[in-house]
Amino acid sequence: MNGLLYKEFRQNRGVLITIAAVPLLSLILLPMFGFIDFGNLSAFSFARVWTDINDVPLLRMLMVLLGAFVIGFIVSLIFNADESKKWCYFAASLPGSAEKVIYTKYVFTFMVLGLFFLSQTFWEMVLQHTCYGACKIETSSLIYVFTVDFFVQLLFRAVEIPFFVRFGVKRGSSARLIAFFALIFLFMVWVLFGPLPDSFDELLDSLAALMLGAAEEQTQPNKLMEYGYLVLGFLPYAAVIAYVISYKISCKLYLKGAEQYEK
Amino acid sequence: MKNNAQNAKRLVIFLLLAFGISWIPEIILNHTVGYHEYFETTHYALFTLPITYGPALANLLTRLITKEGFHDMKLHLRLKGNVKYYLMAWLLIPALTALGCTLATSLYGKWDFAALKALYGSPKLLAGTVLFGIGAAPVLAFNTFGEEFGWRGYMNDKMKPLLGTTGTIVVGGILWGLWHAPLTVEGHNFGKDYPGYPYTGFLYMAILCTLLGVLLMYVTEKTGSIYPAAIMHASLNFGAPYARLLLTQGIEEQPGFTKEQFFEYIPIILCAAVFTVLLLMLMKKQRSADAKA
Repeated sequence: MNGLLYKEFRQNRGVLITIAAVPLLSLILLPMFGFIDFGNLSAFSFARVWTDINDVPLLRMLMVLLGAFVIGFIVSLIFNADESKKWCYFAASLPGSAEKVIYTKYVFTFMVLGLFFLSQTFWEMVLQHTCYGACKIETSSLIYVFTVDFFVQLLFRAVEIPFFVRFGVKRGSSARLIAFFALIFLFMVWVLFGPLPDSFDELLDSLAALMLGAAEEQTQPNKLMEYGYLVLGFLPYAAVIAYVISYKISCKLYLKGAEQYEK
Repeated sequence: MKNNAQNAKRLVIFLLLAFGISWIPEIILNHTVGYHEYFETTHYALFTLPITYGPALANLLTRLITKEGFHDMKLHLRLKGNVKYYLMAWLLIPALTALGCTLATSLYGKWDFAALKALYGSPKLLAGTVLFGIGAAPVLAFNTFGEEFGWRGYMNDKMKPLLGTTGTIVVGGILWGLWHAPLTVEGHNFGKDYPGYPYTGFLYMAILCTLLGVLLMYVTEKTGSIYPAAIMHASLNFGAPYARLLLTQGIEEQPGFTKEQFFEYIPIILCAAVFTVLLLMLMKKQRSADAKA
């Protein structure tokens, strides 16, 4: 186990460095460059830039989302590195069988997501301190957004890893996409023809209100917000359970998948 | 005998470092920027987090200074066969807090959710917030890892051969409580307006840390890893307040340690008593296994 984990660290040094650096780019540098007036650089002021960034929390949220997308891609590299028949058969012959290899991959992926969360938190602390130092403004904390992001990432990885293991990263991504569109199609069929609960119309109204910007003027939480919070409440438990189930499924699929790898 | 002297020397060095690394910046910050500024706002978090890592740094430095080496640091996950202890670390403290708060509200408060409903607007919103708060607490374990890596990861191991299990629980708890003194003086946890301030505050903190120390020591001993203790500590700091938010009704927050709070802690006290017995049994079993070997 230690040896396999060491192998992952050696093999994925680049991934770890990128993961630690992505939040610096997404949370600080990109929004900062967005607010610099390149036509009038003499008027540049850090205090002004930080104040502007702090005034647009939605932009910071979008940057968190951007970081999350990058991480989704990076995690696939962890699996891509070991995608060969020879390695899989060798792994299956190790003490503890292929289960140890899969276990290490899951632990390492979890560590990568944890590192991303820590990196986000660290760079946000830097941002908060710099903002306060530059212009005495208290930046709103996004730590709960990062926490939600962590569990969403965990849930997504739980879904996609068995596809990677069974079909390889390239074909696995396509298979996952097909499954995703199939689910959307089924959902659409249900929305159009299926028996809908009474509260569904209200939910759609809330969604429409939110999209039209009317939600900001509402003082009471709307249906969408209520259900959103309830789903959010179950997210940590669902993500952890899904990750464990995903590991069990991947263990069963490992050797079947190895037969289909190209290399 | 030589081993005991060596352990005592290492323990003293560790304690001096753990207290020094955390207390010196805390006292300086208390007197310069003030407790509220550096501990309760977001813009000094960059400085606050390293302070809580004082015991962790002391662990590493003591190993380096005494040439002990970096083996047996309890940094392995040891998930196999220990998932139940990880789950326990995640959910036990919020569950005990929920039980205690239900007891306190039944005795001294009143069941009235109107104020909470007014605050959150809807029961679904409240349920989502509480569930997420408790569920997400382990992710915030990076805040508590520093303390656990020092206290449970090093101090307890050095103290056990010198003072035995019961001695480690009591003396370790008192020391851990005392380590919070620069914060307790500034009103952390108990405020400032209570009889005997700040000395009774130190006493409350020492008692609380002794009780909670038992639970944290138990999961560490059972798993041989400090992560469950860090998760349990995070659940206490970040998860349990959500259980309290939901179930403490009609009880006004008061400074100091009130009788209502005592009832909130009854399940934790009972659990600590049970875990002490379990720990003593575990240690006895380990000693007899060592003797046989």
